[in-house]
Amino acid sequence: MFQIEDIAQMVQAYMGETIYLPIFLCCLLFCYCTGKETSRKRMLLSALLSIVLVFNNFSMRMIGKVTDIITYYRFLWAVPILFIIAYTVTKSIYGHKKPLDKAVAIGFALLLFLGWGSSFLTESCRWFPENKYNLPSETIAICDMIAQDKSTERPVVAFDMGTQLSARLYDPSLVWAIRRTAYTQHNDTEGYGSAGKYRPDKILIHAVNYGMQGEPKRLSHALSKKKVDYLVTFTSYGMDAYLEGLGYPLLGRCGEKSVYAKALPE
Amino acid sequence: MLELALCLLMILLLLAEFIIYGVGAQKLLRLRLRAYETALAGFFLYFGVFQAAALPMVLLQRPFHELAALWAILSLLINGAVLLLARRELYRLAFGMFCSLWQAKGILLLGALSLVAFTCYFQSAQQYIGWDTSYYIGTVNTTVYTDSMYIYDGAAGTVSKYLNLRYALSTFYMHSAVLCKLSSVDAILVQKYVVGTLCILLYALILFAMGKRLFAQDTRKSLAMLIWGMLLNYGFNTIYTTSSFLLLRGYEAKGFCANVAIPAVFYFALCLWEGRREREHWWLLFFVGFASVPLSMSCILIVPALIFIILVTEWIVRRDWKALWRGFWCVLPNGLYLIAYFLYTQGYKIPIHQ
Repeated sequence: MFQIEDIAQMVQAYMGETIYLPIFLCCLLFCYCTGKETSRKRMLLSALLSIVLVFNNFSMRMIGKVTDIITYYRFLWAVPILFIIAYTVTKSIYGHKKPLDKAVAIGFALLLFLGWGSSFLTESCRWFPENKYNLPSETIAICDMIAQDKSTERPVVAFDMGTQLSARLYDPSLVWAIRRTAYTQHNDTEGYGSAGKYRPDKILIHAVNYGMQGEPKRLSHALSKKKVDYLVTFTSYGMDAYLEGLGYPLLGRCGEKSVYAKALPE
Repeated sequence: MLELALCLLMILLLLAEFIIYGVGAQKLLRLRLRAYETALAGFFLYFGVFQAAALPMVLLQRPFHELAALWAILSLLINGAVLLLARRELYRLAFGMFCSLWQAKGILLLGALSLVAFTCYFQSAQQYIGWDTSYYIGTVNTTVYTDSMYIYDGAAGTVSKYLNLRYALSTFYMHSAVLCKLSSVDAILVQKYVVGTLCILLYALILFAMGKRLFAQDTRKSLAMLIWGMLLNYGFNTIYTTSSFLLLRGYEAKGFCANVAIPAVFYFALCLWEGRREREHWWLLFFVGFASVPLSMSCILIVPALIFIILVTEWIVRRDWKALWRGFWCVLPNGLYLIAYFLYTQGYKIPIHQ
């Protein structure tokens, strides 16, 4: 929704590959045709008012100024797509008296929920939680390792992006070294020209999220500026010697990740 | 295992709370609501009352444990008062619900209950973790851990400079934090299993209520509509749809905005169109307006816009000026929140004093 310019694009992005929009419009037509006179009036008026007041490019820009343009899609929640389809399906099933007609109506309705390729029931959906927290076990192991080792109450940790997303769900004592905006806007291997105030964050991203090892001075500066206590990155990047050279020896490994702790002064 | 059992207990207790609050409102305002309307009214009233208790404490930056204690005491008082003054109504409601279920027994009821239970399980089993998840569950976690409210950034754990009113005006997550504090269960468990399940149960309740309204109180047809409505959600998979906020992110405040608050306004529209028992339904709409921002900041504009469109339509169709006047009171709470939020965006910020 970040590059949406008009309502049509927004509706398109919202509906994705589902076929619910044309079905919804058909159901609306059905309700309009079978409804009473006052119901028709209400349907027509509320649809017109919605378009005049909310669903137009001018309102989209104005509302975007008050709240935020990227949250404007939430107004589409106010279009009762599923309720109207569910009502029409139920009405049409109970409207048929012959068992065969009923069966055809039920069969057609069952096809609907498959959503033509946009179903939630895919191979990638989970049938069992990974653990009672339903968090990656790797994250839990990393957090436990840091908790056992930490010498400060609230250690600052530079995480790779995946671990960063889930770490504080398990252990709120950890503090992110890399800000959310840095990850959402500067998560790449490019230079620092556009990074601005997120420059130290980006240096850390280069190290922990991409395993870049060519900028030890910058990294050392960023680590001390951000007061980083731990680094979490992918073992496959082979960062052991590089980070040990910067004063962050290996603490341990969990799954595909390695944890490095700041060496304490002797 | 004990924590999961506590989560189940919390779900049951919260459902009981909604009914108790609903019955209390019924008694206090002399309303005649159907059983499902009582639960719905109670849900909104519960969060509205919580907001009334919590928001001043958030703005005054009081320690979190004070809110937990205040809410425990308030809940005891309100529950005690309702149990004392309206126990007959409560008993009647419970008996009526049991009788309705017994009358509706059959394959449709079994199918509907199984589907709702499956959806609750499905939602709990999914492992969606995004930036919003980090922020919202992180906020609950941080609140309990630091004994403060919105002083720390929920996602990063760093100290904020100002109260972020984009989030702090809605105390939905503080309610979850209170549950964590009182039960000693982890935030992620409370959010995923308790709050996520509640979202689905309330969504199902509203679907059922809509069916009752649309099919002239026919329970079988209402159950059928509930089944189809639930099934359709499984085929509406894009990252912004109401279904994704039901099946993957039901524990977020946005999930309640998309699947509870907005559908509740639709339910009101259906009641208004029917034109009977108007007083009850105006109160119901007021409760929705009153509690929409406490539930989710996403409601701040959507709910009043929706109410406005419904009421202007009604005014044109029925030439009913009273509808507009009553509607004004229903959108007033959101209007006040909107002013506060607008001032915040214009630079009127509350600095953190720590």
